[in-house]
Amino acid sequence: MPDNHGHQKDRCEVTEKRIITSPPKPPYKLTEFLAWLKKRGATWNLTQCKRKCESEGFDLEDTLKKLDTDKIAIYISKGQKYVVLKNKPWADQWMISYNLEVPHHGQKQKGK
Amino acid sequence: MPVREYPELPKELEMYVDKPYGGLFGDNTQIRIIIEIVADPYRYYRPKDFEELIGASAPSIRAALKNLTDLGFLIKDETDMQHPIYQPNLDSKKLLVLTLLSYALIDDRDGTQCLDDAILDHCDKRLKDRTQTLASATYKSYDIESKVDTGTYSVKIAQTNSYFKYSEGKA
Repeated sequence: MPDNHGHQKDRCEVTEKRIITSPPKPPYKLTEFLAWLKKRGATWNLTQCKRKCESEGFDLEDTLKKLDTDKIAIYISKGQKYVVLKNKPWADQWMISYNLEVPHHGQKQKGK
Repeated sequence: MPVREYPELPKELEMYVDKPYGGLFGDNTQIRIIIEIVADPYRYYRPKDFEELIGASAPSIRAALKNLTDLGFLIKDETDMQHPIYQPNLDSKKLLVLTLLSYALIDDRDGTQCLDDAILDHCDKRLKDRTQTLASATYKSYDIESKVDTGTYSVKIAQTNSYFKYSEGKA
């Protein structure tokens, strides 16, 4: 049916409203850790992973609690805990965004 | 406070855990140093760092560091002769390829596309000038012996160091 302006109202009416939000961007330090883990085969023991994160200034277990377990999770095998990066495309996306996929001179060297 | 239960690691992953390059190159001091450098190429390393990181003996670390420096994988800073510092050589293609290899191993294991993503990103960010098409043209192929036109092919001209070569017997 035409409206006051003679337009067909039904053609421009929004039939479905959907708000699409992108997931929060992981901070640089976390992405650096994801890159570190991925280059080791995406599975590494929790003790070393925690040490790495401590040296970068964040707590791994606290951080993991905030992330979906379908992305990264802790597993256990023979009494030993391991961190497993499960969603590699998700990690890739942020590694590309922060320019951490391959080594190059664009990244800042960490202090001597 | 209840103890948090973690799921069991899938059996198929067990053989890869804590093995540099999934065990492809065995497990020794040198490959453990390499994986540390590949995993974090933006830091400076002291021999003592590797003792803590990989738990190997000081002499085996010294030998591996000397070898990796001779191979151009590491750059040794001897400003302080007693406490040398090693820096990953970011210009080394070996470092680039070993990084890509680490993704290839995941892809083979999990059926992912990590290597493809990294190559595409590398081409896009650092090789774009060399792969960008500057002009397009076509050429005709003609077999000299049979005197037959063998077809028309399109050619993309890019700024690369390789030359286009005609196969023998064709002009």
